[in-house]
Amino acid sequence: MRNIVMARVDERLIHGQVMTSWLKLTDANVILVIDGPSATNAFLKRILFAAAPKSITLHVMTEEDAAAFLKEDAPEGERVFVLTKTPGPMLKMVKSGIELSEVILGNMGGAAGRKRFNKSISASDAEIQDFRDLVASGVSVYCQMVPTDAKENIKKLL
Amino acid sequence: MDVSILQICLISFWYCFANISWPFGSMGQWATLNRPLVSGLVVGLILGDPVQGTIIGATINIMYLGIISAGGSLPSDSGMAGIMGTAFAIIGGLDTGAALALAVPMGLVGSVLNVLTMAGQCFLIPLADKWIDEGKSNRIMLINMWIPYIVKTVIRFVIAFVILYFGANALDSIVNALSGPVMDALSLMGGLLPAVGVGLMLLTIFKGRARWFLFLGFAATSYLNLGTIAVAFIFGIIAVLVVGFDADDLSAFRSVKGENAMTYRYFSKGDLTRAWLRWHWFCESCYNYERMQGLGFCNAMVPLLNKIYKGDKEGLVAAMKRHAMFFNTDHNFGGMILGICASMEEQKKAGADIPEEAFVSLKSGLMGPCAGIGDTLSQVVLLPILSVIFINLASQGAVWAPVAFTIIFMAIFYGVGYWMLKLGYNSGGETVLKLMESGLFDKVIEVASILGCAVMGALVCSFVTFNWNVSIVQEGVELFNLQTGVFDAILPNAMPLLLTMGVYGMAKKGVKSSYITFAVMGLGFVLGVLGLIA
Repeated sequence: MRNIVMARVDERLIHGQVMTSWLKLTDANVILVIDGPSATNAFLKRILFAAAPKSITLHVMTEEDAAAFLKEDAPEGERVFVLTKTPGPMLKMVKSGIELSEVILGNMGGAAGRKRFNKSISASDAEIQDFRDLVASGVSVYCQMVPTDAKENIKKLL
Repeated sequence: MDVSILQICLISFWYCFANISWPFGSMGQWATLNRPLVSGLVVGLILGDPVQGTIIGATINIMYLGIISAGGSLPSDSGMAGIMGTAFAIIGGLDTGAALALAVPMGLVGSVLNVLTMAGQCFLIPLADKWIDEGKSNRIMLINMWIPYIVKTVIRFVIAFVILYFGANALDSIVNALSGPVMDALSLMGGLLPAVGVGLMLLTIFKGRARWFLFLGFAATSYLNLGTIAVAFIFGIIAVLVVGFDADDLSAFRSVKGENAMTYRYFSKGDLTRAWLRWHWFCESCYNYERMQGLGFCNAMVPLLNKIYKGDKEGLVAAMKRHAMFFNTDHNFGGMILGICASMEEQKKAGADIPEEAFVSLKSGLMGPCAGIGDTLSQVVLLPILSVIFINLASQGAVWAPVAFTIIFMAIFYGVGYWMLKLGYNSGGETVLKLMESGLFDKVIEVASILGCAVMGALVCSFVTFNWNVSIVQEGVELFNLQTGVFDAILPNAMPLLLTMGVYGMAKKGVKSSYITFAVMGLGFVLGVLGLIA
């Protein structure tokens, strides 16, 4: 299995300064974005590649491809940063046998059908169920926007 | 001096006005009227001493140079700090050092107010959603702008009035109680504080080869006595030469053709301008944690959607919903995304197969990268460098400097904002992508980092005051003086530079800016009380 240094849910994906601070902290050299629409739409894919720091190798994959990719043997010195928009793909990874010890939750914005349950996180009923399932499979889920913020365990919020 | 109720009311009103975004635009008002540099002049005018107000405001502004608002984080409120710091300094007859010491806690009060505002505005969202569901597009302006502005203005006025009224009355007794060594120590402490602003600023620009230019700018001022403007001019040219530009860098702009077959089918130029002005002025009038600029974006789209979906209520409701989702980006790039969405809505109306998902993906895909680039260009590059030049003039008492700063910044923001709207509308997303891929932004940011580092080096010398007061005197003859005998002889301003680098080091380790500010205040106060610095 590849060496995952962080798994993060942030709807804005590669968001300028917020992302930079996490990459510095984790010392990651590969970003894996797991998002079906981004992986299959050429325009969205180009946006992501244009936004990624030049020193980082970026992969944008569908859930199936990502699970297969993560199961491969880890090359020497590779440090993978897994990034998704919602908890769904993370749960999918765990279900396909990828070991995740913790998931850090950054930002999920408000929209019709989503309820706000923290300063920067809103989720629909289905997404809340995904969080519950993640926690039930032994993954610790924390809310933390930038590294200097305190970690807040999601258990209290569900 | 005595302060009248009318003066207190005028200052309170100014605080409210500096916090709304009409007529200068959301970013425009925040970056000009709400800066200590500009509000210092205005408070000075109200209190009858514009020159002193300008000088104090400019000095307070240095401390907040490096504080930027990115990714939805809310830093210390420089607006409140500038207005209250200047007001109390003039009323109490304090020097700039003591004014800085008063400004810091006021900035924290202001940031608490801002957090409460953003949390409070979340409560307007359910009502906005209800009106969107009912297709009442013309009420969006009411909920996005009028209601929050009226409520905020009343609350802000009362708070500012209370602080000023009771603060001014208590000020005399506070100043009297603190007179003598404590007051002197506070002033000395104020001399150290600008290092916080410069050190935090370095956090974003002190990298790569730009780092050398901090020391070059420092040497130019410390040894050669060059002024800040001279340093900015010389190193601006050097930065462009060092980075180097070629014709390819601008190719993305050249590929955009003006009006084409896809544009202006349903919208007129006036429609587009109206939508953009609603964005420019009111994108953050209902800024809140749940949707950020989401409602502001919807509000900007309303005139366009009203036109396209005339008589089609279902279509209007669906369109408003997709444009009211969570959205947060840089103001100018936001205008560009508005242009792209306008063009997509127009093509959809003309029969192109553009699904709902396309809008959502485009907006959420672009807002992050655009915020990253836009925040850097406007808040890390343009604002501080422009501020520094005018702060330097204002700190010498030039009352025209804040006015010129405001006019120049405004011209740039209206000009660039409108140009980017057109760029987005005429090219769809293509230009944005080509720009992001071209590497032009990286080059511009490196030029700015080099220029910024050089100017920060110069600022350290002219604004941070840290002089040792350690000497050995025998029978009235000074045998040894640490400051003049050692530091000034070898490397003048070495202590200000060391302190600034210390602030930078702490910030780099992730220490919060408010803790750093208090640490520097503590250091200055202790050294001042002990008489070790003068």
